[in-house]
Amino acid sequence: MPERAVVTGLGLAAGGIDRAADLLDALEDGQEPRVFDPRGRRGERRSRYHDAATLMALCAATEALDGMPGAGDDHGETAGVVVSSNLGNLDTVCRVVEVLRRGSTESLSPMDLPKASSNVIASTLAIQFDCRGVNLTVCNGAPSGTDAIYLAAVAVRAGRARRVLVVGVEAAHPPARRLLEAADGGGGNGDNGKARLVGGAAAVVIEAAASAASRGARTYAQIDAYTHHMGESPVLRSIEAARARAGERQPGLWIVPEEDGPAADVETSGVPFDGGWTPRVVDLSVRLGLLYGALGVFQCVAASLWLQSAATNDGHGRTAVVTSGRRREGASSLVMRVAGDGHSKDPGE
Amino acid sequence: MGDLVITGAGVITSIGGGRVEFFEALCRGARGLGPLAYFEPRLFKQRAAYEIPGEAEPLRSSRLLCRAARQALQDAGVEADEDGTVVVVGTGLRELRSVERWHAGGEELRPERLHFADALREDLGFEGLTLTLSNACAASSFALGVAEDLLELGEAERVLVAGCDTLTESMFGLLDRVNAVELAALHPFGAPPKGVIMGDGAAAVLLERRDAARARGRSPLGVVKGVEMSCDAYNATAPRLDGIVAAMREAQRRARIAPADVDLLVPHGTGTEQNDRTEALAIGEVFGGRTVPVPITGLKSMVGHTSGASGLVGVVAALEAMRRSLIPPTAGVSTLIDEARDLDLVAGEARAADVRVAQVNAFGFGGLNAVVILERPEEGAGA
Repeated sequence: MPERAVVTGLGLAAGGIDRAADLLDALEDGQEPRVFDPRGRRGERRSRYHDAATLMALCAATEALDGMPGAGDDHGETAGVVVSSNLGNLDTVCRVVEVLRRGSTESLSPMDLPKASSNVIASTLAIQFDCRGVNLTVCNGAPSGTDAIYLAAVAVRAGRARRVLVVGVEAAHPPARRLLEAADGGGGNGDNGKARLVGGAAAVVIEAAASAASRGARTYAQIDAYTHHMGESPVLRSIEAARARAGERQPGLWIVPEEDGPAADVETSGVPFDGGWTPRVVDLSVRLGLLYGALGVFQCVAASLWLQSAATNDGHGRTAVVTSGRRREGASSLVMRVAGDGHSKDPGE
Repeated sequence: MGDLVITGAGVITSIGGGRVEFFEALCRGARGLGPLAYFEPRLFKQRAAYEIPGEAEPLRSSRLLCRAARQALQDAGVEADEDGTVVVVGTGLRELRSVERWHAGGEELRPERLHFADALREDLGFEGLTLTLSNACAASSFALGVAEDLLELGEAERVLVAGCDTLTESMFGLLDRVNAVELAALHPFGAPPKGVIMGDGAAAVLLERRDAARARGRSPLGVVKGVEMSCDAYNATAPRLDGIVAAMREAQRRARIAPADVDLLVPHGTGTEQNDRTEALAIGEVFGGRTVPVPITGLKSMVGHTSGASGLVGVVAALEAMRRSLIPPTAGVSTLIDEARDLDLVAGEARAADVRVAQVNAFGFGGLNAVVILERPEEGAGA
């Protein structure tokens, strides 16, 4: 019997939101997406030598791991890290090439060496929080954050890790913005109503249910099922598969992909709310801007908070679905439930 | 859950592609080192690398990946659009070379080109789940570990595991910055230790359950007995002895074998002072109790450091070594560093050897460790 994977920690690094627990309220505050200042939270001294994405990841992870067994814990070898970021180290790569082409390799700084590798965020988190287990960096496009949560749950269910820190992060450095804006046909500057990239990080701790129970941890939600589709109408097909996997209790919450995102997945508007399915529909990009590879982890934070607050309800309030994806990049959905509720279907199907 | 087996393999490197041709080139001691083909040489001290010249840019990594994937699928007799297939790609540098050309050269680039789902859909018609993992120089061995979990949990019917990388100007430049001089070649465990030279490469294997392979009437190329994935959680670039020792021991524990059972070790062996010394000491610690030292061959003197592809390139070489009972030599290495002087590094010529169990090491920046244990299928196991 594989382990169940539950959510036991949440963290955010997002402009104008102090704590992860404030996320649902912030979605109602009517504010525009705001830039997050990691140096303000961490302090200048603890921010040296890290790139922007790594700094935000550290901020979100620190909050998510608050109260967990920390560095030096003798279970470090069963603590894993999964990071999702598509654009994280593009700033270093682009800067190094610029400097190099103006001179020679003697003009380069060896300090940039680890940052030229896309796994710098995950390895920095592992070093900071003594996570010696499995360590993955998922660079999988728009569904990447959702895929990262899935891979963390797989590691827990396979007994590979007791708990996994998952962080989704994108930084709004110039190459990141330019790449996404070009994909958006020159939009995405905020002037035309489209969401823009302001950067941010979200963190979630995925833990084996038995481990969470043994240490008396607060459990927000459980990860129940994962679906993925590529090809035509991936978002539509992904949500349909997720609803099928959710079984009789239709999800009461659907957190949608970035509708205003680059190459917007217009198919999302075509999703049929049939059979009386009337979930609350939430689009995080209105308050948080484009989150791209970080989106799935932000969605998992929001769904976890919603399920936690709904834990005393019956019926539809006990299941949520989150979907992230775009045409040409595929779409992934997670079915999440109030912790302790039975699976409606075998997640290993 | 039964054993997981590899039923098809593909590989492309600077010394050639196709698992059989690649292995024969290794056994000849062929070296893929040549003058820089894709960068402006005057910018670097190092003006030779293990590249695959003559490929169109941009999106070179994607194309190498698709070719290796095609080989592996064909070898395994599996169609790309068969239901239940998941693709896991391990890559150190993704399409960052295309990002460099976009940023500095004004070429077009779309975000979906940074990872590989779109390329596999376009080229192979694959529309299942593709997971792109960017796990530095251990990436494709991590991909194999993730594939092991997906199959054991029943999340996939079969997994196409792949690795691909092409040189990026930024990484090549930064390594050039830290290398003291131009290197004549990469010499794993060679004295004096000098440094690493990057290479282009891609590899792919089709992993499935033994009973599924048997039902299809396919003879496995090899059995994956276990993959350990860990992180030193210690240093951003330097390896750590106890982390590597623990990873090798844990892989052997997962595979239910003892150090004495290993007939061939394909080390990470990058040729840099710190990596080679640490890995040699770790090998001494793990295998030190053997009466006969374990035969070791470092492939990177032939194909260079193919970054995220290197683990799977080693797996493909080990599969062929098991099938052919032949260990390729570590080309060009004669004198070993002190820490490696008790190691049995196969040098000079290929060595005939009965290889039943092989271990493949791959380590990466950030203290990433992945260790793969392979076993030769029993005679007639697939029939």
